[in-house]
Amino acid sequence: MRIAITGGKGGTGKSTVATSIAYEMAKGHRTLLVDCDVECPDDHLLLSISREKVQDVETLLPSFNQKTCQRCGNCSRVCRQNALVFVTYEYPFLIPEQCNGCGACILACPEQAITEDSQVIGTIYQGKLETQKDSFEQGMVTKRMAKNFLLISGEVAVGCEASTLVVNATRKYASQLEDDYSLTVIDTAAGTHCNVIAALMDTNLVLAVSEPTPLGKHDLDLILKLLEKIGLEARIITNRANIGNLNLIKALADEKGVKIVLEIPYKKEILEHYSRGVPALGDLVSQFVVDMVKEALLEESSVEEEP
Amino acid sequence: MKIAVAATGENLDSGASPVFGRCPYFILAEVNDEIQEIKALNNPAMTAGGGAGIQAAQLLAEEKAKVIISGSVGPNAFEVLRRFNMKVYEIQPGTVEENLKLYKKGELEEITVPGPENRGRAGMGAGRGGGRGVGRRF
Repeated sequence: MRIAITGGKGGTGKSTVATSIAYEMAKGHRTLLVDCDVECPDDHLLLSISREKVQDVETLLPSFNQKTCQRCGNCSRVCRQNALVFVTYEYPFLIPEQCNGCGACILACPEQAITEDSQVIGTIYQGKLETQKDSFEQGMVTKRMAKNFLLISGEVAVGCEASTLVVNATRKYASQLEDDYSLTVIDTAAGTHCNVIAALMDTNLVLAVSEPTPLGKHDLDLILKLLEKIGLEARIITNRANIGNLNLIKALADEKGVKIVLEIPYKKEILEHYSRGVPALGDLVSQFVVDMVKEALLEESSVEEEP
Repeated sequence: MKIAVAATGENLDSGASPVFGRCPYFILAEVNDEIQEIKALNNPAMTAGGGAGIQAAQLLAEEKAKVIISGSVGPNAFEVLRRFNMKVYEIQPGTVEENLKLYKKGELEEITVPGPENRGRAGMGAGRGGGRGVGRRF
């Protein structure tokens, strides 16, 4: 089963919630945390995890042979990314950072002057919870938890715009491991763009983390609309629920018929955990997680039992 | 010398546009002793999904403009202009014609480093993009 953590607005606490939920889940279930906020993955920081690189994410990069190029400009005209510059009588040239590796130019070239090369657009890392980490209190991370838990973290190369491709590659890498895990928690980026959509696809439940501010409400509305369009089941978590105007979120939740399942207060203790690099929410999420997982796993098994 | 000015309208009296890649028009003018309008170019890059600056720069290179008067130009478009030896001068508030006159008098400043990426793009995700340091590749 896969749970995605998203929310629309940035800085609402998506990663805080995702890491805390994954941490609590790891106490009783094999849990994979997949950080798909590839433009600034920070789940490893929140859990004091040292990541190690497992593979590069590569994409197709066209390579041009000026000996056979007839300077027709077809390659540039088919490039939807505007990554290929062509001016009459000149050789076309590529802006690599703008290229998303679709390969249309290769198909469009009548002279076969373009061949496939590749470029690195990101990296996939993984990391484990460590039982002996200074930031954690002694015995906080048990051996069992450390064994149950694995973080997969995608990171797009600096300057590269193709974050969605890195999200897809991260998801693909994680999916090869999922047979060994009963739960996957996917942490998405802020916003409602393709990189977020790629992280949300094929999940069973989406938790939208928001905050009781007009902007929080506005962006929550956007992400709920998106989830409705994709056809994903959503629940709302409000962070800093005791400051701001919670009625903003409640009204939207009522209007959309989406349940608010957790209200996280603005509390000094949470900030202290956060700044130390240990799961910030602790007991606040534990009961909620246990209930939700039970409910979700039950639903999953009942679906499987259908003829 | 052929000069292109980023513009909000179709002639010399139109407002100069501080946006490069997604400005609605470029006014192409021949500037020697006099200022003579050649034509207004519809900017097809205005609605481009991505790479608007690149497309706009390509259009102006095709038109053989040697000088561009515009606001901040992103790193990719800057690279295209550089390859075709085109210079960029910083636009001043006012009309296209006023900017051309300022250029003639040598009162516009040349832009020698690219500005931040994605400045003109609508609907960026919350909290990210824009506002990055000058001279960065993206």
